[in-house]
This record gives sequence, C-alpha cells and structure tokens, in this order.
Amino acid sequence: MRSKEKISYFYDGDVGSVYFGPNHPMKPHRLCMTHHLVLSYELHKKMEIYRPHKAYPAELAQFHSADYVEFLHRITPDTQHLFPNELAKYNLGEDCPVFENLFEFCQIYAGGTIDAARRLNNGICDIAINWAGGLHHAKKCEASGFCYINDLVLGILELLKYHARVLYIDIDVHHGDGVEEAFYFTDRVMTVSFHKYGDLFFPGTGDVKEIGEKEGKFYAINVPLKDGIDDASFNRLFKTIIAKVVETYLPGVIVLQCGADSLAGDRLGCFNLSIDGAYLPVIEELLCVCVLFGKIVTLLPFILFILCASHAECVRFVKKFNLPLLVTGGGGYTKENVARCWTVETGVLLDTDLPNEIPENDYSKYFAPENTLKIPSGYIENLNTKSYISTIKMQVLENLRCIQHAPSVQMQEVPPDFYIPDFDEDEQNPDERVDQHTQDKQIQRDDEYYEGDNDNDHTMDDV
Amino acid sequence: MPPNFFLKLNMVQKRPFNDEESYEGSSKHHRQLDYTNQLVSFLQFVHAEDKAQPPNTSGEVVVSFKEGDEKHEITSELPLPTEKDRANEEEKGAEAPFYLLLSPERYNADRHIRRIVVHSEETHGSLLESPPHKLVPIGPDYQADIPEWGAPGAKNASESSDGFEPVTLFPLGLESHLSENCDVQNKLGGICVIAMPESPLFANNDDEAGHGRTDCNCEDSDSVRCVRKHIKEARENLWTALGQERFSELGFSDMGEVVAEKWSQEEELLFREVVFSNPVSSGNNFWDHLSTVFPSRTKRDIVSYYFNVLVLQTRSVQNRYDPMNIDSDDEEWRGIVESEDDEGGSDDEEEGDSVVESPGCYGDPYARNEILDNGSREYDGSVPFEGFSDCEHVKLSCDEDPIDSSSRCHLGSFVGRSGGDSHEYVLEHCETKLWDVGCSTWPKTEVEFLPTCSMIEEVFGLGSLEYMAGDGKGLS
Repeated sequence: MRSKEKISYFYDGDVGSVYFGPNHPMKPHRLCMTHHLVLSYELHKKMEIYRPHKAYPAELAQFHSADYVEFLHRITPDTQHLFPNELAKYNLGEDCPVFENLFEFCQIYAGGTIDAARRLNNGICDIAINWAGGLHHAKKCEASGFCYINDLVLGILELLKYHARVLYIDIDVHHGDGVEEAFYFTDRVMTVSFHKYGDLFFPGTGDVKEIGEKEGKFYAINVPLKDGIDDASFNRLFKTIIAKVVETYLPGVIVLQCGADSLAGDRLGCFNLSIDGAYLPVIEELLCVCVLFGKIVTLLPFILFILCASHAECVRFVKKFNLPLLVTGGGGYTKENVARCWTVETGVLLDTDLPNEIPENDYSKYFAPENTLKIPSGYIENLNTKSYISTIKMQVLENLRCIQHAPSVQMQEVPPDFYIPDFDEDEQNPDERVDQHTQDKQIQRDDEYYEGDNDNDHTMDDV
Repeated sequence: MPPNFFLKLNMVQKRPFNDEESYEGSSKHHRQLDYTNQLVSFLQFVHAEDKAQPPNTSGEVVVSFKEGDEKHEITSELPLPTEKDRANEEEKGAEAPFYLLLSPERYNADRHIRRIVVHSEETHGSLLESPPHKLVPIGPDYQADIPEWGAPGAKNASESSDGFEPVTLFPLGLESHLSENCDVQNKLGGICVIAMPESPLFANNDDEAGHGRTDCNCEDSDSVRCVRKHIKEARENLWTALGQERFSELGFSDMGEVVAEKWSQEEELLFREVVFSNPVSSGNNFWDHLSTVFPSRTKRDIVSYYFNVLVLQTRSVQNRYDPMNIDSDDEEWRGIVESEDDEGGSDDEEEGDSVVESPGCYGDPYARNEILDNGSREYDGSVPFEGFSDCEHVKLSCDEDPIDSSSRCHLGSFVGRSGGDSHEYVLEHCETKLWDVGCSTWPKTEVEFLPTCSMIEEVFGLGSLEYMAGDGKGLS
C-alpha cells in the first residue's frame, strides 16, 4: 500500500563517525547501520532524504544557556584537563565524555530535528524522521545521560511557533526528563513518557505523580514501569493512554521519541519488547463461550499463539492520528537491534511492510547469522503485575480528566479533522492490529472557537 | 583505569558489557557540582539509626550536603507511616512521598531549587538502599522559554472560521520548484539529497521498495566469498540506481569495508597492532595511541576504519563461529587463529592475534572502473591496497572453491602482525598472475585446513572450546 503522506528523512554521514570512548555504550555508528539498512530495503524510493544543516550556536541557545553552548563549542579532549570546574558544572566527563568532534556531532543531530520541525511547520511534509536525534536527557545548562544538546526541546520550540499545542511521546526505556523539565510549567506542550522507574534506574525522575506545575499542571504524564514489560501489556497501556491524551489534548503536532533501548536484549534496558511483534503463547483462562462449527463450545483453558504488538506498533498507532509527526531516535545500545528497529519503523511510517530477510548490505555481518529483522524474545522476568499496571493507568487517566473538566484550559488551535482510532481495551482483539474503523471520528469541544490569546483564566506564564 | 560511568550507567547496569568492571549501585547521587554561586552537590541521606537513636520512634531524616568545603545538615521529622498507610500505599501502587524542601536561605532561591523527595517508608527501611526519588528541578535555569504562537506570515486560528492551522508560508506551486532547487531547500532546512519522484501519481510501487534478501544460488551459500559477492552486487546495484553523486551524498563511500581502500596495507597492520596491544580491559586506551600513530589521519577516519573494517571483520568471524554469544560491542573479542606457518609459526598465541579479513574484494564500482578497464590485471598499482588482499581463512569451503575468474578476490589469508617473520598465513590456489603484483614475498603454497574446533583445542588445550563457547569473550 502506498503511503499517502510525504515523508522527509534526515541524515548526515558525519554523525556516525564519532566515538564516545572505549566501552561507552553509546555508539553513533548505529546511525550508519540504520541508514544503510533503510537504503538496502530501498526505502529511499518512497521518501525525500535531506542532509540537515548544522545547527548554529545561536539556534542551540534558543533553549540552552549561552555559556553552556559556548563551552561545548570550545572544549576538546586535549584541553579539557584545563577546565575541571566547568566540566563538573556542565556534567561533562563521565557519562558525557568530551570527544573529538563533539560539537559538530551535536550540531548535526540537533540540526536534523530543527530542520524536521521547520518542514513540518511549512507543511512541506507530513512526517519527518531524524533517527540521529532524540537525545532527551540534555538539560538547559548541562549534559546528562549521554546527551549534550536537547534536540527535542529545540524542535518543539520551533513547532510551538506554529502550533498551539504539541504532544511529546517518549518510548525510550529511560524517562524523558530533559523534555519534561523544559516544559514543566506550560500547557502548550504535553509530555508523555513510558519508562522504567525505580531500582536506581537512571535518571530517577518520572514517577506517576510528576504531573507538571503551574500552568503545566496535568500536562506532564509519566508511566513508570518495572522490569520486563512485554509487548501485550505495553501496547495496551500505550494505546489506552495515548488515545485518551490525543482526544483530550487535541495537539496540532506530535513528536515521537523512539528510543530503542526499550527493546528486549538491549545492553542497558530491561524491557521485553519486540520490534514488530512476536508470536507468544498466551494462556487464556477466561471462560469463553464460542460457537464452533455450529455448536456452543466452552473453552477453558486454552493456549493461543497471538501476534503481540510491539515497539513499532506504537509508531503505527501514533501515525494513525494523521497529525504532523516528527519522529526521532534516542537510546539504543545494542547496535544491530537499533538498526533493525528504526528500519522497521521507517517502513511503518512509509506504510511498507519489510520482509524479514535482511538484504545484503555493507553491514550484513552485523546481522549474521540469522540476517533477519526479528530479534530474540526477552527473558527478563516481567515484574509488572496486572494490578500494578491497572493502578498506573487509573492514575494517569484520572489526571487527564482534570484537563477535560478544567474550564480555564481553552483550546486556541483547532486542528484539522483527524481520525482517532477507536480503542477500547476491553474489546480489543489481541489477534489483530488496531483496525481502522470505517467511521471517522471528529471531536470538537464546545469552547474550541475561542478568539484571542487568552486561553486561560489566569495569565499564561510564558517563562 | 577504565572510565567509571556514574549516573546513567551505574544506575542502569542490568547487563554489564564487561563483567570485569565493577559499577557502584550507589545510593548516593554523585554529583559534584561546584557552582560559584550555587550550592549543593552532595546529598547523603543518613538513616536515623546511624544517629544512635532507637528506631521506630522517630522518623528522622538528616540531610547533609556540602557547600564548597562546608558541610551543612538539616534535620527533619517525618511522620511515621501507620500500618494502614502502608497498606494503602501498597494498593495505590505508589508511595506517598514526603517533600523536603531545602531551606531557601541556603540557596539563591530564584536560581536553584532542588527538591528532594523522601518516601516515608524509607525512614524505617533502608535509606541507604532506597535513596529519595528525584523531583523535577524548577527555575529559569531549567525550563525553556516558550515562543509566542503564530509566526509572522502565518494565519491565526482566530481569523479562520474553518479552523485550519496556519501551515503554508509559500504559495502553492512553489513546492514543485522546491524539489528541483536545492538552494531554496536549504532555506527551509536541509539540503535535498533525494527528492520525491516527480510524477504526481507514482504508481503503487510496492514492487520497487521493501525487498528482502533473495536466496542466492551459490554453491557455497553463506560462505565468506558468497557474502562478499552479494554485498558487492548490492553496492553496484545501489550505485547504478542512485548515480555517483547521490551514492556519495548518502554516505556509501564511507560505509562498509571499502573504507579500507583508503588505508595502506602497512597502516592496516599497524592499526591492528595498536588496537590489539592495548586492550581496554587492561586499562589501556588504544584510541590515544591510534591518534599518535596516525598523526595525518583525522579522528573521523580512525573511527570510520575501526567500525567499518575492524569491527565488521570481527563480526564476520564471531557471528559465524560463536553465534550464541554475539556481542558486537565486545571490542576485545578476538577470532580464532588458524595457522599453518611454513616458517614455523609463532609460539606465543597472544590474544593480540586476530583474524583479519580482507576488505579488498569489492569497492565502489566507480573507483574500480579504471581497474576493470585495465584488462591485463585486476589489481593496479594505484589501488592503495597494493594488490594484496586477504580473506578470512577459517571457513573450510573457501579453499575448495575454484576462484571464479571474474572474481576480484584473492583467497589468501593473513593474520596480522607487523614484521614479516611473525606472519602466519594460509594461501590457497589462486591465479598466479594476480599474485604477481606486490606479492613476491609470499610463498604460494597450499595448506590444508583443519576444522576450527580441533584447531582451537590444539592451540589452547583440551576443553578450551567449551570454555570459549561459554564465555564468549574469546581470548582473555
């Protein structure tokens, strides 16, 4: 099926030839592998490919402090020993080492996300992809968690020039703290992060009770999870929450961070997600009354092998909203799985199902001996009980209701008609992917046509 | 000492990539920040018991932190959770936190407020094992400045009755020009490398994209030679489809083992020697040495060679022969040396020995054109590879294949150490004339291959095969 949307894809080969240091898990070479795999599947025939501009320091300083940007610009591995105080101040040197061509690396990946945002703003494309971006931990005045410049914040700031409301979704295994923190006070950006939480897991923020403050209260959503979450649980939770978020918040554009460290087998992660589904045995212990061959048959218990949805299913689901979409990479520390994942997801965004057998390419050896897109299932014990997940979901939905009922939250921007997939968890047939219903849903709020900028009772604090 | 990654790595370590390294699962937040005007770098929560007070009688928390060289303490009482509270918290699935706001006079309050949450359960439990959860810092140093909505030139929603978003800055029709004019593209962000097809109605092009691997008809399917051949074909197809300019723009010239063509044979040998003599696990950093040894090479070149040639060749071996323990980030995995050395071989099978695989069998068709045009020989002196190429030698099938006369691959093998006398090598039947170029130092003999597993046992002793298969770390 041909993709109806126009997709812009950003890549610069220089981004993959930097090296964080021996045994450092972040390996930008994964971006070369991803790019090559995307092209090996000939996906370049279905999208436009751009080499992004290198973001100027002034552009980076739209979010980051000028002195931090300047320091990043000037510091080199050879001179860093002269600046121990600054290194400490900006949290450089350990998790975030100073390496050769560091600043250029930042300029490229940030430039990609900024360019992507600008193209979306101008309506030149419907979906923009920058796998090099998604470094969501970087803070205004310091580096963090292998991230130096927060390209997502910069991209969102671009989008905010044209859109009243931006929805940010983060499926990296780590909490998207940098983005949440940047927009903690505003309701113009809703941040939703699904991540592992607890057990000293980095970064330590992301509790379900973190909901934003001031005008931003209830506009930060956190879904803290435990080790080992599997496809079925994750996707159910994701779809329920995101459907409700979009229905409630009515964003004009979505930014999706697709950190691949939430996949099974990641070097640093601890989830069990597959890339695009795995056939897993599921024991159904419910009493079921089925009509089989004209007879009523009670089946209890039985084992189904169902195709459970996955990391890529999240991308698929978000795409269905038909909103302008900016997709970035993020974490991911098992290089070949990162390449597989983002290639599959490029295919998803292009409505192209990719064959499981990886075509020959310069990096074929990374994918040997199986040479398949599928990755082995995860074996980490799933500590997310049904009741735990249910509790988290309830808390999130309860917080969302606060937005719905708050009369002060007016919707300035009226997005075009868009489709919200009907997703009812109880009725979901896990055998099938979310279907596109024939009837489009259009949601309009009574107070949508509110003129002027005063969309709140109190003054919007544009901090 | 290898770098000790705090924070993200220490807090995250679920699957240590190096079992030998020890990472602290520290309960402390190791953040030594020495702001000139700002405070607190070191927060340590001390359990009440440490204060020699009876437990269960007071939920006292002492927060101590350092301000420069001074140490400050704040002592606070915490409410004791009752059994009911505990039960409720269990049900809620979350803990009711106690918010401890460090007193503002210790800070420049406008600039830096860092709030710490202490979960009340933890006052009786083990604060040291379960440190407080972090809250989001707030202040002008943390939050972004939100731009106004509505860029100049964009329509306002309030002016529009149909509710369309302001999206277009450019009149219709310009879009088609944009596809052709890269300069204009640049203003919008990014330089166009591949534009969309011009035909407005591109047909259902399922046939044109998304193809997977097709079964090859090679007799030696999945052998090194087979893989090489197909990779080469894939590159040629891409080059034909994209054209030279796009091929380079997309970065293909710098991907894969063709990168080795930009390095001389001596450089490649030296590269390997430096890497293998300075294993990170021994506290060395071969990267520093590489920069010294190759002063004319940029870091980018060095990184590129490392990942595109060295690591890839290691993958070729490990993924084949130790597929259960594939670890593409194990930078010290060394392949198994298979050797029959006419010169007696090297007695010390050091871990620095490695399997070297030849990248020289393919390359940019563009670069090779001049070579192909030269009908008399397939390798030409201008090729940096100097007419000598190596192939991985561990695959049994290699030596049994007659060299395809159209193949540019020399099936010889070479295990890298600098200096001629310590080379271990195996050569196979090949076309003599191909060896004439620059290879006169290498005797042309045929050597019989032994099965890898028996080679391992012979070299490393009985039982070593199981050891290595289990460890997956190869030689260490």
